[in-house]
Amino acid sequence: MDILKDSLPLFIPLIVVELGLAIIALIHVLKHPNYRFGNKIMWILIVLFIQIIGPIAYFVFGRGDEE
Amino acid sequence: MSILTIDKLSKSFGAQKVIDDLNLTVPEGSIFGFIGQNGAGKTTTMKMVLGLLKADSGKITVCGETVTYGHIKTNQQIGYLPDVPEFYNYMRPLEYLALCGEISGLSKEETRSRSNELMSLVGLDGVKKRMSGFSRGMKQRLGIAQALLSHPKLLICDEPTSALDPVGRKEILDILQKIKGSTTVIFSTHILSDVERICDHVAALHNGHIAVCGTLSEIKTLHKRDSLLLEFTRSEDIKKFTSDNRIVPLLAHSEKNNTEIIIHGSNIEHIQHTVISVLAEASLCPSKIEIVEPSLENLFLEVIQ
Amino acid sequence: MSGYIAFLKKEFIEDTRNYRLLLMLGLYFIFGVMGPLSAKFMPELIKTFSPNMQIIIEEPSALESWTQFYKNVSSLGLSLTLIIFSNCLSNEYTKGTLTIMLTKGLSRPAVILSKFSSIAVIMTVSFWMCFGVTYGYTAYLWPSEELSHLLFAAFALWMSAMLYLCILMFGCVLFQQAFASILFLLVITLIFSLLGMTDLLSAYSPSFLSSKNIDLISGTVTISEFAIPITISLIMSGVLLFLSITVFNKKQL
Repeated sequence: MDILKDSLPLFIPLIVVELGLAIIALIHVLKHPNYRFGNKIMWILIVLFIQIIGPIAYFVFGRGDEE
Repeated sequence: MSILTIDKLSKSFGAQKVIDDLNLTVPEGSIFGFIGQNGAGKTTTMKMVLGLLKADSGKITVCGETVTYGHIKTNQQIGYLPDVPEFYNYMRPLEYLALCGEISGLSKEETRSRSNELMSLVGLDGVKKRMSGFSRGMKQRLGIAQALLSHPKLLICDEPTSALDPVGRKEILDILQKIKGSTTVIFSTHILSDVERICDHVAALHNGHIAVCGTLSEIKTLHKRDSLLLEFTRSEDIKKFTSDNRIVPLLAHSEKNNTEIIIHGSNIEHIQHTVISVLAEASLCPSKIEIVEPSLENLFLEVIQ
Repeated sequence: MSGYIAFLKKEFIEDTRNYRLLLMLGLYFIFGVMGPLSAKFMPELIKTFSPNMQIIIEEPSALESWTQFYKNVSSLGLSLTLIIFSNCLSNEYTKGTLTIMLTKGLSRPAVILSKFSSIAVIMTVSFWMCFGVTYGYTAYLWPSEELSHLLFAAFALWMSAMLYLCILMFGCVLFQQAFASILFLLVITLIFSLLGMTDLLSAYSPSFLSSKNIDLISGTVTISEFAIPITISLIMSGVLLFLSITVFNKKQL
């Protein structure tokens, strides 16, 4: 595990981008409560807990038309 | 001079012939009401004028130039407002007008000044939010603004008022009235009161061709059948009145119910004289006597029968 | 031409405001980082968390890092990309937003070409950023290892990505629904990979470009073997784009 600890800085960009996408998607989910299908709780869980694919799924399929 | 001429236009969808040998001329500077039932082919005709649909046969001329399907030369003279105008939701109205201006080849400055001018004409000045938050009426008004952007000679509106509430309808009609004179307007509708309110020319589409066409007053005189309405308070009175042998010959074209009778005829004065003398002699007192003006609705119903 | 540029601008605004650009950059950045990191640390993690498992784990290497890159980008990366862009035309069909644009004098080829170019630009930027990130991480983690043909291998994958984009565009023009165009794309991909499996055609199939990249880097395949698949992909892309425009010109909206 030492080698992992030493290389932690290498992981920072990955974590930042993944978290960033999740947060942007989360904000959108909370601000725009119209979804093409599903409900708010479902999308919050998807966006937060499925890495990368969660936010993509939300923006491509879940986001409602009306802002 | 006519701005739009349609000559022997035909169009079928599958086996169904929607437009059949349609001829139409729209004079410059008019507000032209294009009436017809739902599904009569109004939208189809307009789309062919715009070159969005291919005509099976016939010729369409706009400002002296022939319209060909898929080509857009004639479209520079035409502004089009679809029945339900849809915009890019993520854009703001001024951005959208800028896009329209760029596509129609206007300069940046011209687009900007024209946009501001039109936004205040349609009552949207100061609206900066994205268009996803627009109501039906706002979309319709922005639709007019985009259609008028490049100073078209002809504005085609497809049912601009059908989806709106009375207030929204009045606003749209007022805008159309305002631009009368600088732009020829064709608008299709099935709401006849709108036509009576602002149109000077009318054509009615039925069974794929023009059933009646002309100025509003022309049509009214042409189809004028003088009618006299009499209303009695008691049904015995009306029986007594209609049994008079001078009245009987007038009843050939009449509509009658319990207390009311409408007498149609070509010579209204003769009818009036007869009716009044009969009433006086029989000492009958109708509660109402009225000369009935033909309404556009009656004309329309008569025409499509 | 002015219509093309105006509509291209609109496409970029659309991609930005609909989060497509953000998703693409995020997705490809993550893939760029993930390849080298998992090549380096995955064996370590497996060892730590399941010490009893008897599996032969290869020593982490730069080649393994690139193997991860090609595996991620050519499968999941490309599929997600095409899904992200699958509704580029269907949105306009179903809502009727194109009608006004066309009556304003926008030419139909300009619609297809500007959509194609905007997506191609976004894909290209994301892809090469991903390549750069993997390259940087790999060089940092395995400073002593030198690999050849890295650029050309990536170019081959990029070329096949462009071909898939052309297939998607054609699918979008043919079918009104985004779902149908994805299905169309799947069928074509299946055909390509079936062709790739036959001995006779495997050297010509466009799937060669997205499956033999690592073999090129490791030296089992030579650059010259890519010549025919690249030519075929180029021609197919061109033909598909041309067909898209022709079919779209005939389409009644």
